[in-house]
Amino acid sequence: MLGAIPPVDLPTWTELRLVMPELVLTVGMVIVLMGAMAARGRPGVPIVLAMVTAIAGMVAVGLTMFEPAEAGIERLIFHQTLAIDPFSQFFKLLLMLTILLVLIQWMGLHRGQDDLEPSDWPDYACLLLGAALGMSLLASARDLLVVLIAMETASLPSYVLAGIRKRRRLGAEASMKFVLIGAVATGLMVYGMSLLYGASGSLKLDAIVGAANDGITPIWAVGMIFLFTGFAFKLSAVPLHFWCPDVFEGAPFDVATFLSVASKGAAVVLLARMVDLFGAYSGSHGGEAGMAMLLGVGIFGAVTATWGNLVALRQTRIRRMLAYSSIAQAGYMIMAVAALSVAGSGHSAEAMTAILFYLTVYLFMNVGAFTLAARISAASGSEEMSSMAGWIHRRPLEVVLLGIFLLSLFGLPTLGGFLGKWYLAVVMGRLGEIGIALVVVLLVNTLFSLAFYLKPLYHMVLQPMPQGGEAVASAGSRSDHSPIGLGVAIVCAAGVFWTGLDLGATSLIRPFGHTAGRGMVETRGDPPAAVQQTIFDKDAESNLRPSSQRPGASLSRTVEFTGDHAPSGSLKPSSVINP
Amino acid sequence: MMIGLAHFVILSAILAAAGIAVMLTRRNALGILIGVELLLNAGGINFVAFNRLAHVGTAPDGAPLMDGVVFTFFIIVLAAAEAAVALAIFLNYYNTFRSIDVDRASELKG
Repeated sequence: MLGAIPPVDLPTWTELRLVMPELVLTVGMVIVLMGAMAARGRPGVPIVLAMVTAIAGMVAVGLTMFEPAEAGIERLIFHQTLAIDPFSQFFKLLLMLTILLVLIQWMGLHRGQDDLEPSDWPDYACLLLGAALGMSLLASARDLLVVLIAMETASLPSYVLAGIRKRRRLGAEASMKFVLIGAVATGLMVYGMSLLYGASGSLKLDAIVGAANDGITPIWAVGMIFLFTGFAFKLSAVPLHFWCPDVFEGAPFDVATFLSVASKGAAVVLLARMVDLFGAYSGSHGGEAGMAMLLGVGIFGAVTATWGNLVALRQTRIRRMLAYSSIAQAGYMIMAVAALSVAGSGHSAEAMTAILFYLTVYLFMNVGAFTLAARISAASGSEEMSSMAGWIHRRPLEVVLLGIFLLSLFGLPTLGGFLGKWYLAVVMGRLGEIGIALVVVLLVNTLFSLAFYLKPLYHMVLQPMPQGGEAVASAGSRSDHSPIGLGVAIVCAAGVFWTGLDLGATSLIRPFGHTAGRGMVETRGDPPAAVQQTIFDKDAESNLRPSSQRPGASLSRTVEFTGDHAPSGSLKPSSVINP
Repeated sequence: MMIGLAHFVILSAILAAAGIAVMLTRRNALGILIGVELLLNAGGINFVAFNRLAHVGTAPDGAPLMDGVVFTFFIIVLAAAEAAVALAIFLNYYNTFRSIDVDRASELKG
């Protein structure tokens, strides 16, 4: 693989074209820093450059996202270490949109505030793009080494971003807690990866998952548990969720928004890819590993959702409440990911679609809720919900918009959150008894969550404004009147209605889910010889095998597929080490 | 007695257990970071040992496969990067709180 690389293994144009979004982000980081040097005295320049990078990234994703879709395959590039499929590309589009919205939100919040010095602005923009680069790679990772590097590329800038306002006590504490928990999770994950390598002899995720087909060995199981510990940290799923509220509260609002949407989204996509491999492999082999995965991931998600909701009820500060709510939302998505682990049911495509749909909705409603929570708490001078009493009279538009986002997070029909949860429930419901149990958990959690989503609204709408409230309001910072942040909220509200009323959202997203994942075993004509990719040619009903590999430059370790029943795309790896 | 794969794996398991014990018992942020380093190096030993002794493969041109060894290099680099970021954050925390005791980091809770 990496030993004595023959000269023909240099990246091809196709490969470089397919990683264009990542290249754009990398170049953007350099340009932001150089632009900051060139335009001294104008601190806004790097921020604008970062926004331009995000837009260029969207264009780049747009150029690459339909190519794999047309081909109907998952493109495996760079020695099968990166998977460029419509699923990952759609997430990257959401990621770029998140960066753009977060930067605009940041402008709305920070104008006139002096706690982030202009000399730190280029660092801020560069770190944001760097973290996004890691998340983007994470969404495509198909190799343990890439998983590790991408996760660290995403995490290290996030640790710094959490404490980017150096003089804030809470920021210092948040970033220290974040870096410690993150380092522990990375350590455990690396040790788990080494055990998985030992158990399977490969760094490829598919070979590792396939190794379970000959019976799960203890070393493999322990390694897999440690690997999922690392995933749980990024997902803020229950055993490792406790950093999330502390970091969200101590970090600036915009960083909290970014972490809650982008970081969790990337982790969900990675988890989906991993679990989908279990589904693809387990069909031909009684599904022992797939079943274990279904139970494990399902319980993991159910516990996360329940715990997040229970603790959110106790919160009195709006940001902590939103942090626990985001833990619960991640739990819902993890529960749907569990559906991917069942092979042969043929609805992995639907599950992929449901997850993408939920990620889209979640992006809009969470960015919107965080933006308005930031504006209202900046104006009221406190994040305590009780201090926001009677704000409907002072800022009607903002409170109504916040209400829309909170009710969407709960899942009120006509809002995006409802349709998102509906799709998740449909996917879970097809899993038999376990699926019904998951749907019940989702339903109970949803009803329960209404209690705390209504809490800030209760204070803002039904409680009378306290005496002297006007004085507090006028003492609030000057920045909260900026229309920029409100613009972000309105765009997000439009997104919530667009998805909730299903004005073309489902039909837009469906193709990305449907061609993803197990699309890799779908058939396709002969590829151009120059394209380095592995396509599994599906003969009528048997013998899945690699049909095209570049002669001479073939992969040093190939997994041979000799699956037996092809209809559902089930695979069985027979050997790992090459000739 | 030949030193075989099992010896390396047991060594790394002991190292990993020590790392986890350090992470759980130390209250000093630097102590926790040292525990993480132990765990990362346990992973590194495993990778090299498995690569050399268990999963010996060759590339098409006959050269031995070095994926585990290369992974170890990346672990070393990542450990350095993580330590650099973590130490900067600890310093910032120390400047604010005059301590790097993690038990005192309790202003954020609820």
